[in-house]
Parts: sequence; C-alpha cells; structure tokens
Amino acid sequence: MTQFLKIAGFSLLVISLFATYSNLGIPQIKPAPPPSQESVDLSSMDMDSFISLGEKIYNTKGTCTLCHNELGGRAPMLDNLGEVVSARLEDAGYKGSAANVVDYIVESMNEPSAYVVKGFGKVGTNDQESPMPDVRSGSIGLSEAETLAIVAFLQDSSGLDVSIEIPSNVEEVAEVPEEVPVSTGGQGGQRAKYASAEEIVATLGCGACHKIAEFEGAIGPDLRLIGQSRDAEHLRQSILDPNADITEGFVAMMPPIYGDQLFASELEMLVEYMASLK
Amino acid sequence: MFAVGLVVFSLVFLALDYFVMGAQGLSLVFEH
Amino acid sequence: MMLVVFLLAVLPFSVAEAAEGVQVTVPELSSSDYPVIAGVNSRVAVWLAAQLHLWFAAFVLAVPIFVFIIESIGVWTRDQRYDEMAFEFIKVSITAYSLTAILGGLLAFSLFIFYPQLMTYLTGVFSESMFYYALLFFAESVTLYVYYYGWHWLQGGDKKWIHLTLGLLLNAVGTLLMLLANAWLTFMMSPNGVDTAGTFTGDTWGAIHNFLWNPINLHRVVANVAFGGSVVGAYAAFKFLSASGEDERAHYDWMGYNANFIAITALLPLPFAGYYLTAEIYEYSQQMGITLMGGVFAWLFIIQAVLIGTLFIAANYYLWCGMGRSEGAHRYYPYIKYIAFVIVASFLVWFTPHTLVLTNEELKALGGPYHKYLGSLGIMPAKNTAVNLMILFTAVSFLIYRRSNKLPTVSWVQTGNALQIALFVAGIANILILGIYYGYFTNTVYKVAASIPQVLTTLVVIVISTVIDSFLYKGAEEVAPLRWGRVPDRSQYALFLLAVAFTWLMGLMGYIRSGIRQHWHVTDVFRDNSVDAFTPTLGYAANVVSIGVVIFMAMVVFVFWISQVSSKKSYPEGYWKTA
Repeated sequence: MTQFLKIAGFSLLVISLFATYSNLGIPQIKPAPPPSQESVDLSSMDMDSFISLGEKIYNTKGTCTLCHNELGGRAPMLDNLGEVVSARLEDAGYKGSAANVVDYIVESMNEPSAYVVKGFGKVGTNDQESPMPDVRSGSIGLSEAETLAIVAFLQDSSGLDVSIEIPSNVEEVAEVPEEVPVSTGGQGGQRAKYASAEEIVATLGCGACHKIAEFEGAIGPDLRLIGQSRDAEHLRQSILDPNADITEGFVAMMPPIYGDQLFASELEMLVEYMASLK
Repeated sequence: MFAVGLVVFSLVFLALDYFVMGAQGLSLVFEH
Repeated sequence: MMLVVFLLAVLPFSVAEAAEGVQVTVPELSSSDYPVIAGVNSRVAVWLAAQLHLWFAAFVLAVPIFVFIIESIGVWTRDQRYDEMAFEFIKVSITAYSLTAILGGLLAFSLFIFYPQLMTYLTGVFSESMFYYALLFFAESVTLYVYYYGWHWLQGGDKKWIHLTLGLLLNAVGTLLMLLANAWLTFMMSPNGVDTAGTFTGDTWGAIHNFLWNPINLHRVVANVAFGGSVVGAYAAFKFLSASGEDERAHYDWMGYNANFIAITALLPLPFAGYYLTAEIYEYSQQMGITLMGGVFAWLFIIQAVLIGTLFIAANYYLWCGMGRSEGAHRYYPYIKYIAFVIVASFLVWFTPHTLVLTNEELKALGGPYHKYLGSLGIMPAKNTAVNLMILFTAVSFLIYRRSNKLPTVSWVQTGNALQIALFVAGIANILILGIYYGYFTNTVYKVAASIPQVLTTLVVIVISTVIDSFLYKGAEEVAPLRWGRVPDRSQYALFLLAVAFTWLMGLMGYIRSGIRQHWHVTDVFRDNSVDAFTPTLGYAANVVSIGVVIFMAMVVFVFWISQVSSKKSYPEGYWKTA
C-alpha cells in the first residue's frame, strides 16, 4: 500500500508540475472571441437592400478592395463590366464556360484564372494565371448567397440592370470580423493582441500581394530578404505611409491602412521581424 | 579505417542530401 | 496489414454509388439551440468523455499490436517467456476494453445530448460508416475473447497459427474501427465531400478521405503504440516495486524493460508523423496552420516541447540505470555524461521560443521581439536539428545498453567500431550542417525542405548502426550476465514519469486537435454558436487535461487491480455448510 501511495503521490506531483507550468510559466494569452455573425433574412429583402448587402460584403468580408481599388495597378476596376464582359467571353484566351454577365462574374470569383485581364496575371505566367484566390476558400469563405449579393452590387455599380434573383431558401450569413470588446476589466473595446509577426502577416493578408513567409503574392515587392536592403526605420515608414517611397518597378497601390490596424507594439514586432529577414 | 568510414559515410549523406533536396526541386547550394 | 485494413475500409464506400436524393444541410444555430442540462458545462463534459475514451482506446489498440509482435517473437525463438509475457500484457488490459466501450457510450450520449443538431448533421453525413462501426464491435469482441480466453488452449502447432491469426484479425478490426472514427473527427477539422455551404449530397468516400484523415491515421497508430507501451511499463514498474522475492523482481524488471523498449521505438518516429500532420494542416488551410504554430496556440507547442523533453530524458535515464544490470557496463559509464549533455542541450533548444509576447517595456529592454542571441534558436531548423540529435543520441544509449554485457568475438572488432563512430560522426555533422546552413543562410522554402534529409539521416544512421552491431556481436561472449531485477528503484520512477508524461502530452494534443477548429463545429462550414464557442486560455486547457489525467490514472489503477483480483482466493472458516 505504501508503494502505491508513493507512486500516486509522485504521479500527482508530476501532473501538478505540468499544470503549474502551463498556468504560470507561459504567458496566458486570451484568444480573441469568435467573430460576431450577422444573420440576414433574405426573404423579406428588396433588391436595393440586397445590393447594399453586396457592397458591404465587397468592402469587408470579401476583402475585394484590397486589390480592386483606385490606386490602380494589379487588379482591374470593376465598374465597367457592361462594356467589357461580352468581348472577354469571345476572346480566344477565355478558358471558362460562362455565357452571360452573371455567370462570368461568379466564375471570376470562383475560378479567377478562367480569364486574366491583360497585364494582371501572376508574374511569369504570361497572364495565364491570376493571383486572385477562389473567394469560396478558407479565409474569405464567401457563401453562394454572399457571392450573388456581390454580383448584384457589381451589376448595379456598372450601370447594368440587376438580373439575378435574391436567393430565397438559403438563410445567409454575413460574417463581419468586427473588433469585439474583450472583457478584460476596464480596458473597454480592445481586441486581443497578435501573438507573433507571422500571425500579423497572415491575418492582415500581406501575402495577398507580397512574397513573405510562405506566401507567394505577386503584386508587391518580394519581402523575403527585405532586411538586407531596408532598415527598421524604412520598413516602419513603408507600413505606415506606403506611398512615400515606392520601389522601382511597382506602383502606388498599397493601402495606408495598416497603421490603424496595429497596436504600436505589434507594429514594432512586425518591423523587427521584417528587418530580420536576411 | 575510421577515416575511410568517415569519407564513405559523408559521401552517402551528401548523396542523400543532393537527391532529397533535388526531389523537392531545390539545389544543394542556395541560389538567391 | 494497414493496407488490407485500408482497402476494407474503402471498398464499401467507393463501390457504392451516392444514394439518390441524399441532402444533408448545415443548420444555423443560436446559443439557445444548445441544451443546458443539470448545470453541466457541455464543452467540458464532451471534452473529458472524448479524452478518456481516446486514452483507453489508444491503449486497447496498442496492446494487441505489441502482444502480437511479442507472441510472434516467442513462436520464432520458441522461448516461452515471450509467450507468457504477451499473455500477461493482454490479461492486464482486458478490463480496459469494456471501459473503452463504456466511455465511448458516454461520449456518444454526451454528444447527442449536448450537441443534437451537430450530431444530426454528422450522422447524416456518416450514417453508413457509423453503422459499420457499430457492427464491427461484434468482430472485435469475438476475436478478442477467443484470442484471450483461448490463449492456453490454442497452443502448439496449427493451433498456435490459428491463435496468431486471431491476433492479426484483432489488430485489423481494431485499426479499422479507429480509421472510421478518425474520419468523423478529421471531417470536422478539414471537411471534404461537401460544398462550401456544407451540404452533403452523398459523397461518403469524399467525406471520409479528407485532408487530415491519413495524417491522423498514421500519427495515431504510432502514438498509440508509444503510449500503450508506457502504460504497461508503469504496470511493470509498480509490480516491480511491490514484488516479494528476487524472481518476481527479475520478471517485472524484464517486463518493464520490454515495455519501455516498445514505447521508445514507437516514440522515435513520432515527431516526424507529427510534422507530416502539421504540414498537411498547412496544405489544407494556411490560416489554420498559422493559428496553430504562429498564433494563439504557439505557446502550446512550448508546453509540448517541455513534455517531450521529459519523455526523452526519462527514457534515457531508464536505460542508463538499466546498464547497472551488468558489470560489463562500467566501461561505458564515462560516455553517459556526454549523451546526457547533448540530450539536455537539445531539449533546451527545442524549448526556446522564437517570438515572445512582450509588454512595451519588455520590448524596449530586449531591443525587439526576439532575444538577441537565443531568439535565433527558436526557429524550426534549430528545433528540427535538436529533435534529430535527441533521437540519435537516444539510439546511442540503446546501442551502448545492448553492448554492455557482451564482448564481441568477431575478427573485425576494431574495424566495426571505427565504422560505427564514423557513421555517427558523419550523420551528426550532416544534421548540423543541414540545420545551420539551410536554417540561417537560405530562405523559408529551403528551411522547410532541409528537414527531410535531416530526418532521413537519422533513420539511416539508426538502421545502419543496428545492422553493423548485430553482425559485430554475432556469437559474442557474455562478459557479465544481465541480472534482471538489479536496478535501483528510481529507475522505476522513470517509467512512471514516462507514463504520466505520455498521458498528459496526449491530452494536450487532444486539446489542440479539437481547439484548432476554434469557433467552428465543422471548419468554415458549421459554425459553433454555443456560449462555449470561445477558445480558452492555455492554463484553462491544461487544468482540464490535468483533471482528465487524474481520472484516467485512477481508472487504470482499477484495471490493473482487477487483473489481480480474479486470482485471489479467500477461504473463510466455517462459512460454507459441510456435506
């Protein structure tokens, strides 16, 4: 019996050591709460509301404006679809199977490489491959209904008649990754901090345009060895005010929004990380 | 005999590195 | 055998056509859709039920694997001690089977009670495989009972072959059960065979054969053996410490050694199975991969590093203590400190984090988010180098242990030893060069790619050194016999440490597997809208895991105790009527 008690005691000691280390020996990061979801009832929506919903998704969850914006350069503008789509469908380089504007827009979102507008393809692919991801995939994850809402918005903003119908059977959800207040007693309205520079890079989508970490973005400069040619001061400026100094061969299209999306300590963490990329 | 063994095994591992890196589409020496 | 089992699992699903008109859709839930029963926290209830079930399931899957192997060795060498040890292993674990089933039932009930809509969806997708799963338990029970109860009946000649076949069947059925269950949980992590809205229209094979199915299958088969070996080792350790008499001590010492050997042999390839699993997680979703290794779960892997370091140190310590069984080992004692140094240093490297979570003052004081000198040790190439060295040097401990009581009698001893040393020097140099050159002077693609030749180097060194030694020691003279039983008590505590650490580690990994889904029941498809959808802190998770480990150990003690009880007899005076 004594043996058993000695062994039981030893085992409990070991278990408590692991538990103590996990509680006190490492930082207790409180993960961000789940993003809030907005449930939208489509059955009672009119077309104008549906178009507004599409615009909202276009500007938030869809992350479309990251590339499709007026600074120009690496993703075509989408306000002229009425004029260009029929020509594209006839084009010899068209690899898709759409027969009309609606199908074309949906196809562009799901299989972007079906048609790559001249000059916007991935570097080295002769405009055969698009750098745009499939919007249904993981981090963007648009549902069919959300896709249709964007179609409605794009038709409307191109001056076309909206020819789709509001989907009725699908109860659609527009997930808005808001900054939900974390109840950390008195802090009020502060999200949980990013744990690493790699997490910042992934979450803010740097890889959509840059080659960095394991991402292969083909729109902006390659950052994988940026520490060799840029110091921390320069890198900080490039993040906060990207258009102050544009690398040769590229155009001014990086949005100056990241300074507002990071805490000062996170910015420093990112800058240090990039300065170490040698 | 140790020296012989060292040379032989070093060559074996060099070959292993060359072919395994090659199978992943990479050269042995890093090209920028 | 895995291939046969795999084919058996695949056939019914790939041959059958998708059922007509099958349509399983994902419902939209709100927090009120989740039943609240008796004030029980649903998440913790299911978490503990699942983890306890997993621990026992791992154990009862592992035991038949090594029992079959040991029984086969017995048949091959005709040494009955192996046959008896195999029988003792299975006898010890027999009660564990019913506990596994009970916990499985508890898990199933908890899932249906607390998450009814999720289960409606999952049973809609997996109805066929769940049905086969239930039926397979008949096969499992039949093979197990005949294999166990018929052990001493099916002895000798053809009967032994029948018995071995039953053992093989038992393993096949058990593995198949695990493969089916793995499909359900990996589907939740990396769904396949459904559209982006999660609607299932009959592609059962697609749902089963999702991204993470095979990586989890591989990882679990190997990890189960390591874990199972350690639990049996703890049993042997306990029996050793409470043994009365030299013979009993010798018997349980031998048993503990074999159990530890099994656990360590399975432990060595495990880091690579884990690496493959993580690589596939990245393939499936970069977001998930980054959250795992670079986001909120990053620190969990530092805890994991501490656990694994514990495992390697405990395993090596047990081997070094074991060297005391033979006087011939004295000549190798001087080497131990070097092996210990490398293992501890590797552990420290492995445990060093890369990016630190710092306050602004700490950031200023440190001059950046990484420690100036140690930060560079936190990246993967350094960790891969460290783990490869830990594995290699553990293999060295084994080599020395196996040599300790023997003197080689072949003519080429000098050459053989020189070759061994050359092999290890070349191998270690290669691992270091790969780690340092590709790790610090190239880019990410090279860094990741270099891990493959590193691990292959380790495997090549282990295989070749084992082969060289087996030839070198053919017909060797036994210098000083291995005296089973002649080990210090603290060596047995190393076995307990191994079992506890393995269990806790498995609990931690169980948490990460489920936690990585964060606020999803089925990733990106079926949203978790319960009040417990948030990801808890690591401290909280560690506490739940710890409670689970304590409950599990108590149940294991019960299992071991029961295996003794059936042979206990009491003869109460005057109780029974005389004729």
